Amino acid sequence: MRKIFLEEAGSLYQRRALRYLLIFLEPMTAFAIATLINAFILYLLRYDPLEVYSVMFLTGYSDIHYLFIKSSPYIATGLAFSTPFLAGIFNIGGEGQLYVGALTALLASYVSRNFLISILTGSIAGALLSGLIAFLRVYRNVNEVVTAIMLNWIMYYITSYIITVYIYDPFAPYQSRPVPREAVINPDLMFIISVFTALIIYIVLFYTSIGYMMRVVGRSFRSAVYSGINIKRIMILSMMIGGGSAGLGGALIPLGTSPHVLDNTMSALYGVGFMGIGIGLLGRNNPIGIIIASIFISGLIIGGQNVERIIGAPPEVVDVIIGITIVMLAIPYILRNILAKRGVYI
Amino acid sequence: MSRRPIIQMIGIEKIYPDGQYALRGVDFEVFEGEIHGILGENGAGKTTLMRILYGEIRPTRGRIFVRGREVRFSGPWDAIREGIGMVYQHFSLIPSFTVRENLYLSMLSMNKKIRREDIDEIAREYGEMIGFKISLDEVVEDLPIGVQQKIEILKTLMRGARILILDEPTSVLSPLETVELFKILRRLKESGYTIIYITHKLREIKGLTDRVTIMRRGRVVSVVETDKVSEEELAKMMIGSEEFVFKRSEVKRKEKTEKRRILEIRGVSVVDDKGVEKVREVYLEIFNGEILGLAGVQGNGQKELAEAIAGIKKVSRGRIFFNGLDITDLDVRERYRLGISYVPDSRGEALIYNMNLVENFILTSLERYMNSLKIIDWRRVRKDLLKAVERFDIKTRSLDLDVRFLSGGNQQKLIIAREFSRDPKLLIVSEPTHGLDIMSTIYVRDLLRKFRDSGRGVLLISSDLDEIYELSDRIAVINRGRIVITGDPKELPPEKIGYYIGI
Repeated sequence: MRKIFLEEAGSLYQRRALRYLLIFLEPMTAFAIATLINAFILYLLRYDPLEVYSVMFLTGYSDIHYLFIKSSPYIATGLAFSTPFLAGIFNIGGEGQLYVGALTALLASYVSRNFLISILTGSIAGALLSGLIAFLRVYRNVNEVVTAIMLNWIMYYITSYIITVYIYDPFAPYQSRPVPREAVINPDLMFIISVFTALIIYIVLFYTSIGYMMRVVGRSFRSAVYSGINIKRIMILSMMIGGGSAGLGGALIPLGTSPHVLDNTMSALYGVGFMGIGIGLLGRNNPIGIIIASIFISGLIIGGQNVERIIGAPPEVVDVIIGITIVMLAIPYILRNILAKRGVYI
Repeated sequence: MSRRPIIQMIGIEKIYPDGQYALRGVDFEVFEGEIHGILGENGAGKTTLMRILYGEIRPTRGRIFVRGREVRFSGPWDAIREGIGMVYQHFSLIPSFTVRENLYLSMLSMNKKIRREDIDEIAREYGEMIGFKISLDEVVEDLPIGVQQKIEILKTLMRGARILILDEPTSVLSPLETVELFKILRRLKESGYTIIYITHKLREIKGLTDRVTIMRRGRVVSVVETDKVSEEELAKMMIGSEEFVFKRSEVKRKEKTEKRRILEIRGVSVVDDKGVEKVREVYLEIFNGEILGLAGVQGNGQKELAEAIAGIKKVSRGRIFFNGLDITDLDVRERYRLGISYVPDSRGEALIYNMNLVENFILTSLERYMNSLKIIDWRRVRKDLLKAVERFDIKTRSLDLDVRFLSGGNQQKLIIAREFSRDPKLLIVSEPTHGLDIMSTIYVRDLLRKFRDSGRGVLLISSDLDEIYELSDRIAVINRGRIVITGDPKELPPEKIGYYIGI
């Protein structure tokens, strides 16, 4: 045994170095390809790719403070996708869980005037909503993707309805009354809370029995059955952790970003939950990776807003650029997963 | 027999992306019209070599010639076009389809214009050649394994294969089915087909093949004409003379002190997911210091019975007692904690292939490595695992390697190491040496004996009668979910067991 270790030690380290190099090279290559495709699209649309890129990357990452604040809800929704994903459930309902988290946190802030209670309310609401999806999947065999998509829209309109009918601001009826001043949180705290949540989930996933069981369920259903893991419970739990995280992200937005209101088209929230799917995949379903991916994507989003402002490209063009970048970066990971299912491991 | 090589593989090397060497420069040659055996232990590279020939994996280096012409396969379809066909250990038939539909599907990939009606004709023609008759309307999953295998062979022939590769074809067959398979293979040889036969069973090599290529650790050790060597010589070449310890360890049997019942199964029935009763009113007892061998052809309720004892499947009737305690209503984890351990026949069940050794090591003993905060003490896991790795001689480059990269024997050792380190009172073990090489087989059987001699109980489920006789203190035969006979191995000769297995 020891002999084998020694014999191959040199090559083992070489291999390890190679593997780390690959981890670095892979996204760089994917990013380079995305940049080329985007340049071509921009060229076709008669924008100067170099100008667009220079605005996007120079302004996107220049304000670190704003970058971190912007990335906070994305960290939460990224976790909302990845945690259940590791246990083998596809949580595409981060968007709905985000809405319900934002709405309930807002409502709770009116009553409690306390940010902690508001955040907790938002998280619990998100967890319950995702729990419902998981419950239907586990006990009624209803596909979680279908339920989640329907619930996303249901939550969108319920939230919109409640804002317009019950909690509208008399001076600006398209939006809600603002969060009471006592419950407003410092934007920096948003980032700290999100990163802290990611770290907690990291520990849960890789250092606790619950996290271990989740990963077993996600990787081998048969082994989970064999080892006596309560699969139903674990699946629901993983989904609720995810939903709780999305709810948290939703709560942070009205509490932490001015003007501390929700409007009836959910402009501050719309898409943040869906972006979590891309971020989760980009972060390789690892909480630490998700933090990095969120910051990266947030920079693109900020830079993209500046592209709109300075160059005058419509937001759709910017969305295309971000979309292609995410897809390209996710391809190696998805490809590896598909190949692994066929028994090919790279 | 013509001496013209139909296949030549020269200097084949295969290095996997993780740096593992599967083949280290192999030259391989098959003559037209012969049955050519490839003999080697698990992990010797037999299957890898053949998957390269079949175009399924690409060699890192090396050249392949078919009928003297160099070929470069980008996939099995290219190999099929050259007349090479492969029959796998695990079949590639669709279970819910009929035989005709399966054959149609496979022919469709060769000829888009073929009609379903044409299948009958072609199937009959080839069926007659190998002496195999079947109604094409049968649904595949209802057929016995041996028949499914014949369909698989038929399918390969219908696709125009002239060179057949069979990968350990008898590992899933009963002795009678094996005899029939050999008949078919000999008939094929008479009709001019070339057959490559992968196995690690010496008897099959001797009984079937014309020539044999012996492989060890990714290299060809020797190529010989089969009738010029003895089984012992073959064994020596296969495992390497320095390691050749064919002697069975002789563990002294302790006199049974006090007969204590460890497990008692009272009238247990188990119904599977489809509502079929797989285990029917089974009564069994296992005492301490005893190996109870459960013989039978696979699929006669063994798995369901084992799962019922482990708690994975609920019983529909009956009670199970463990050390006098009624465990019928306990869940799997509680039973494992009480000291029941289960090693299933499928390694993909007991191991999570894409997790590393460390993570796999705690699958059934999570509680032992958790502190009060339910945090896993990975450092302690590693320490225990390292001990187990040394004690059970598990060959791995690193503890952080995903277990899918281990050879079958080492995977099995890891499972056994994990279960033994839990110190169970009762071990249910199913096909423990299935697919293992001789060294690992001897080792695993020794472990089971030692386990028994330390005063604990073993339920040994095996379709290998040799194994049952070698290990068991008592034998029970299961047939269609019923225990048809139990008794002392001395009073139950193989013919009698064979009769009860087959009725």
